[in-house]
Amino acid sequence: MKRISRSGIGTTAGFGLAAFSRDELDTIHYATFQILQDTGIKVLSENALEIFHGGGCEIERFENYGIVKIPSYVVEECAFWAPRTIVYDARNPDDDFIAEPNRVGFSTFGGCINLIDPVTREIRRATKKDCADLTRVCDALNEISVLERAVNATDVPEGTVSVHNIEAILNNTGKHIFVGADSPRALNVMAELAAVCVGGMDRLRKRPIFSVNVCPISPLTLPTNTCEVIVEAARLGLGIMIMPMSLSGGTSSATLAGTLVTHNAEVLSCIVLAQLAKKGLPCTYASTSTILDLRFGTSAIGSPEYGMINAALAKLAQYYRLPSFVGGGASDSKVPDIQSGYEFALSATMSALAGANIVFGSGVLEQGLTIDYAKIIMDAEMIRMIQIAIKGIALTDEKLAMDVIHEVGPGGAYITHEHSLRSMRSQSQTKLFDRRTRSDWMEVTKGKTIVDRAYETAIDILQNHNPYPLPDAAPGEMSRIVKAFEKEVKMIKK
Amino acid sequence: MIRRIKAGIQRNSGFSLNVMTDDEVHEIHLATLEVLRDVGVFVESEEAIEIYDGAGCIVDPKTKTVKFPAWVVEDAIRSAPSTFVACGRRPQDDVILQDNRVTFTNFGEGIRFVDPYSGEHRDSTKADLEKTALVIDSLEYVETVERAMCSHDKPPEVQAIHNAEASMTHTVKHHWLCPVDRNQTPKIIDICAAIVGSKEKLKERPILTFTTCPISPLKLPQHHCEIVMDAAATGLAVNVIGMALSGGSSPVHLAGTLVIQNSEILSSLVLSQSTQKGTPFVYGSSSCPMDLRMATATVGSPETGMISAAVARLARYYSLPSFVAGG
Repeated sequence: MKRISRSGIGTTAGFGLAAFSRDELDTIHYATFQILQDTGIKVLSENALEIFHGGGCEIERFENYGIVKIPSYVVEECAFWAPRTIVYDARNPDDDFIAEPNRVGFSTFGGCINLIDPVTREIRRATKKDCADLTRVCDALNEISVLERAVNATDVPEGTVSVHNIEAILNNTGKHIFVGADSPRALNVMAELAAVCVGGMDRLRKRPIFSVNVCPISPLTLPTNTCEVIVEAARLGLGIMIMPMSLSGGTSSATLAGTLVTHNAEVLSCIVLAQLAKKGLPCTYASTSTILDLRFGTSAIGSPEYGMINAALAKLAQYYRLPSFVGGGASDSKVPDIQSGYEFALSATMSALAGANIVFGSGVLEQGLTIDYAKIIMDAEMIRMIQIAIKGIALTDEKLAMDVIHEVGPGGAYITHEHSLRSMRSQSQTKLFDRRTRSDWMEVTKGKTIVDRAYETAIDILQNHNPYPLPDAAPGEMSRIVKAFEKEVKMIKK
Repeated sequence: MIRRIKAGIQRNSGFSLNVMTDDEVHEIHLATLEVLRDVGVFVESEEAIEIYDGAGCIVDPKTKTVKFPAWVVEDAIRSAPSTFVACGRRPQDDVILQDNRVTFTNFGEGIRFVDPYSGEHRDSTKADLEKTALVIDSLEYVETVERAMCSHDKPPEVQAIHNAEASMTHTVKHHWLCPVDRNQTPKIIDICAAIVGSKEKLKERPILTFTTCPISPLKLPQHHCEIVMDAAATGLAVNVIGMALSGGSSPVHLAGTLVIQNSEILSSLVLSQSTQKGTPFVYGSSSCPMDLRMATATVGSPETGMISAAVARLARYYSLPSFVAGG
């Protein structure tokens, strides 16, 4: 039968989340204007206050801070100056990630302080070596698109943590990196380290292989370090990722709508500062906002609200046509158990359907304090399933398979048809999740749990994975720079 | 500060999934009409074939194939009610199934059971079914009950009756159950009547909906036809649950699977509406892919959720209540 193609019918490219109407996004936008214009933002850095003032903002000065009131035209202009599409450049060009609207990638949670040791299964403080090891595992996983430093090195001197973090990460991945900086000076050293890996500062400027995480403090406060790091990143030409963590009911309104407004105001105020410091600086709209569980006094990142807030903010980022980096998949459970699986599935799926560029949250337990190898491996499997789901159901002639349906007829068999053989690779495939019959499952796994198998996979990667090679001299040179910086910090303290 | 109400801005009442555009749903509908018209459906029951004949279908008694002119299908879609009140034993247990209202129920029918006392994994019994119904009855966010397992300790030919007795006496919620065959159907209806007081009362407030499954691809077996017809005759609703195995009994691609399943459901809908116009009809789906490497039905795969989401969208397009797999 001839099936001439249809002219222009509306199709969907995949499954997506319908969160807000255009009118509703406008509502949040206008409410944010009011906050920025009338309530203002508390800014603790003198340098930043000058920049805001020069950009047309009104400043009210108090003893050791200023309240910045940002006119709506400044917000509109600055949001427009930030680039619409960002490529997260990677040391390995194959890992460059294009952050266009609705391209969904994943990353681990960031900044944990504990981990579950994959060999002893004991919970302990994370070291620099753990930061390196976790990076190597994430580097090996296709499902992880960019590298957020999963744990902080807690065994290094204060003030040098971020420098040690990035050294450990650069040595172990070819992917784009997201890290915070302890100070503007530390950021300079970090840039030096990255430059060593790519062949100089000029090259780093052209292809910045890392972005800088900056966090406003909710509600509506930009601390000194946040401001200074933004300004320094602008000077260095490094993109920033702006990640408030509002706790609905604690540091923002107990209603989610109000939380979205203050969160948005915090992100936009940083964008204004960044764009006034350097027009066109890449800015990523980020979030790890959630609710404060008012019964337990904990930040509940495993709650459905975590998914709702972050999915909503991914939509808001799209409204501003900015790349987004939002939470999804985090857990409050203390061990890699069923609770952690349920919590991952709900919020990660929501944020992914919303079209967030990076959904971060894999591997994390205990309100963001602890990271776990088994969880990273299991979450990677689930990420593959989510990637299948957001592809949706395509209705092309080949996929509708009308001629095959005619041919097979009522009561026939599809399993033996050539079309099934040809198409079988389009099915989702599991490695870790088990789809066997009960008897086959027992025979193959000997009843070993998925968690045990996941730890084994992680240990295997740790032993066998080699990341994209660095220039031969780079590790030694980085080590020298880090040591010099340690000395410098020690001197200043004295 | 004065904040006046905003005039008529468009709001979303909640988060939802963009599954398909209207054009795409229409495309599946057209493909389904093509299958029903040109390929047709195998119908095992002669009584059903007669009803199809009377309804305007083109029947071939020799091959037992029934083919459907589009208008017959369209008429049936229009005559089925778009709202179904799933009655519980008490009015406060009633649940409205319509459009985007989302409710949950348990899986059914399992054949094995993890004993909560011993942890043993074994065949399920009638007593297990009673306990399970009791637990589900207590869960606030599970609005209706499906008989969760079968009673392996009762003879197969009367198992459905035992299932009905065990499960329905341990919950006040609306119940879903497959009566299996014509011997058991009247007895199950008697059990329901005994629970609510009389057959008349059962007609007024049916606490049970029959579930039944076509066989993919495109076969309506004897017992399936009988359940659809008997539900219509007794005033009970019927929930026809498609059970295509994508890659096994339907195309690997989900688009083709949706067409096959939709054809099976709509042909059953024609039978239901031609037996008794206005019989409540629920569009069900338990379809999932067959993992072609493991040769197992993968109810845990992402595709199961994708098929179910698309089916829910299709059911809304037809203004029929839906009942789909998830979880």
